[in-house]
Amino acid sequence: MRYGIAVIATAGGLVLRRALSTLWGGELPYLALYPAVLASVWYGGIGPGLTAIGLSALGAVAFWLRPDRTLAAPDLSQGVGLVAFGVMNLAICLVVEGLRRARSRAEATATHQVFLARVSTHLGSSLDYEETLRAIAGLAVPILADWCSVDIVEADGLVRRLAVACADPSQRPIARRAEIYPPDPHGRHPRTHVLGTGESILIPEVTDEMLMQMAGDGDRLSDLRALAYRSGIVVPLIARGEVLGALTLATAESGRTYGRSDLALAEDLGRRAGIAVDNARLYRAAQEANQLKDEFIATVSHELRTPLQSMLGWVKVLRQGKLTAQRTARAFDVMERAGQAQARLIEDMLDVSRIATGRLRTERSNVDLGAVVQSALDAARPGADAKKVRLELALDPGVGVVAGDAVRLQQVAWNLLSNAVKFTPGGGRVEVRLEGDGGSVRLIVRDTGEGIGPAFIPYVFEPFRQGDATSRRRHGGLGLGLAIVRRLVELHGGSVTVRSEGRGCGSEFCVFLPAVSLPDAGSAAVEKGAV
Amino acid sequence: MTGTAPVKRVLIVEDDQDVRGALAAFLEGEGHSVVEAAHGAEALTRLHDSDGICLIVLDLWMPVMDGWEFRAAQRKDPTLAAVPVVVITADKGAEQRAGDFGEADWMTKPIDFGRLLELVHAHC
Repeated sequence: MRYGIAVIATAGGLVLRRALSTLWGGELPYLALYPAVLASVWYGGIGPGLTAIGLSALGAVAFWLRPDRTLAAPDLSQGVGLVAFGVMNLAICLVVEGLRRARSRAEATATHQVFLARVSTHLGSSLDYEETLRAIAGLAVPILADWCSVDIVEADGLVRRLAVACADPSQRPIARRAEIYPPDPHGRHPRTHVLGTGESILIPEVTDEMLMQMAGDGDRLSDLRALAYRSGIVVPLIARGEVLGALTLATAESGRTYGRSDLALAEDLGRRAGIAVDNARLYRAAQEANQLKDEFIATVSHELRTPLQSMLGWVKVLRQGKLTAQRTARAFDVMERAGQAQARLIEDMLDVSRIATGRLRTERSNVDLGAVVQSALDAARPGADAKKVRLELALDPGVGVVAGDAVRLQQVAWNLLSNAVKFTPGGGRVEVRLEGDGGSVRLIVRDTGEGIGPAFIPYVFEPFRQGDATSRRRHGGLGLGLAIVRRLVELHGGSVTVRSEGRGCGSEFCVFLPAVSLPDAGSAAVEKGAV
Repeated sequence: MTGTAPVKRVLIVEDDQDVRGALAAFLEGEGHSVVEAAHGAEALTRLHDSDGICLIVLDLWMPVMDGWEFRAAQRKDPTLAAVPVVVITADKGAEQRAGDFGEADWMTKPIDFGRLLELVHAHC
């Protein structure tokens, strides 16, 4: 086609010059051939331009220089004229080709700018990044690619396919099949490499060996072959040094081949999309934290008001002056208990604040864990008795001594025990076991209470988390106890685990502490923990 | 009590034993009869078992059956629906979030005992 331009333009030039022979005779044989070469190179490129030069030279020789078709050597002036025609037109071809390339580069840049401007509009318009990325995949075809897919790394590390877009509507069924993220257990697909390393990949020519390497099974290979991929680019969606996903571009029916400028554009796109994903995720996290904070403040208000009501209520009753001496004494007990409960709530809040800022400290001395658990149990017994929850203790006499903070370890035991009693209905049982095997000590608190749903298990030890709104209303509390337990246990070099067969099946908390016997550690060492 | 004029009683539904005890002792000190329940389910039983309950003093956050669930059950039961309710809650925003709770007086803990007495006098 392009070379057809050269043939037609040259033929036209020759015919025109022949028609003008009555004016000029054999003079100026090349006059109508300059425009023919110019037209050939402008519309066809450098190859047709050179072809036009050759055809023009032959035509000029045939019609004007040697009209008698003899093969004698040309005279000097004819030879110089022919060479000058060739050289000048070669120069014209080079200049015009340079202009053509500059123009197509400018056009490509303009297209890219328009594309990026549209992308920026989309990225800035919504905090729903899933929807935004789908829109971007839609924009990428057909401007940048015949195929575009976007994959996202979720919080749990799994990769999810967000979008697949294709330029050719007849390929949609294949696109739909590709909407599930293809497993790549052997890491052969370039995307797996990009997700792993954050480095982009440019494949100028896709070969059949590459397709065979990428395809997981026979169906996929035939899909990939049917698409007739020509060229491909995979870039990471990246923000703050973290790979959040990957953008894959491929050409097929358009026959385009990707180069370095396409890669640079795709990388720019990946960075912009990465920042959008990051912003949207940060915004979601902030919203969630804000909601947790509001719920927490409401809960704190509730939890502080209840003992306050108890205190003020009994003051009112005492003011009536109608209580017997015995009931008066009980009233004072209740008021004291309410005051202590408030103090404990405030202390828990301060502990969580200390955990958040890494300022929670523990003393370190030799602690008889058996005595610590026993005193926590004594403190929990009145509450358990009032609820008719049975407390059972199995102490291994050989447990011995751990290195730690007696007050904090008692807090651990008390938090676990009071939680178990709180979530166990009347008639239930809370079992406390203390076991040791020389190297470590295990404190196990198991209850027959309402248990923990599997969805909540991962959040059990996070501060401010409570099962759900209903649970919060039913059981009250700040949702801080288990977060404090975990941090305190960690500061003692131990760990805590939770197990529950689900709702209604009770729960089991297990604290592991290293049984290190210190040489008489009378003076306290302060350990500072970073969270 | 049978045969004489029925005794009017205030039903106190509150899971915190110390708060419940204070409310009961206060109202008894003012000469009223009191019935106590630790949660909504127990309150429904008391309502069916006891005569002359003239006012329900209702906490919201409770185990087993909370105040919202109790109120819904109470309103569904035609023999109980007419008993007036005063909500005492430590949840300050509860009234705004209450939704379809029916007519009730609302008090936030720590409550105004003078106002509680007024309500008891008005209904009992």
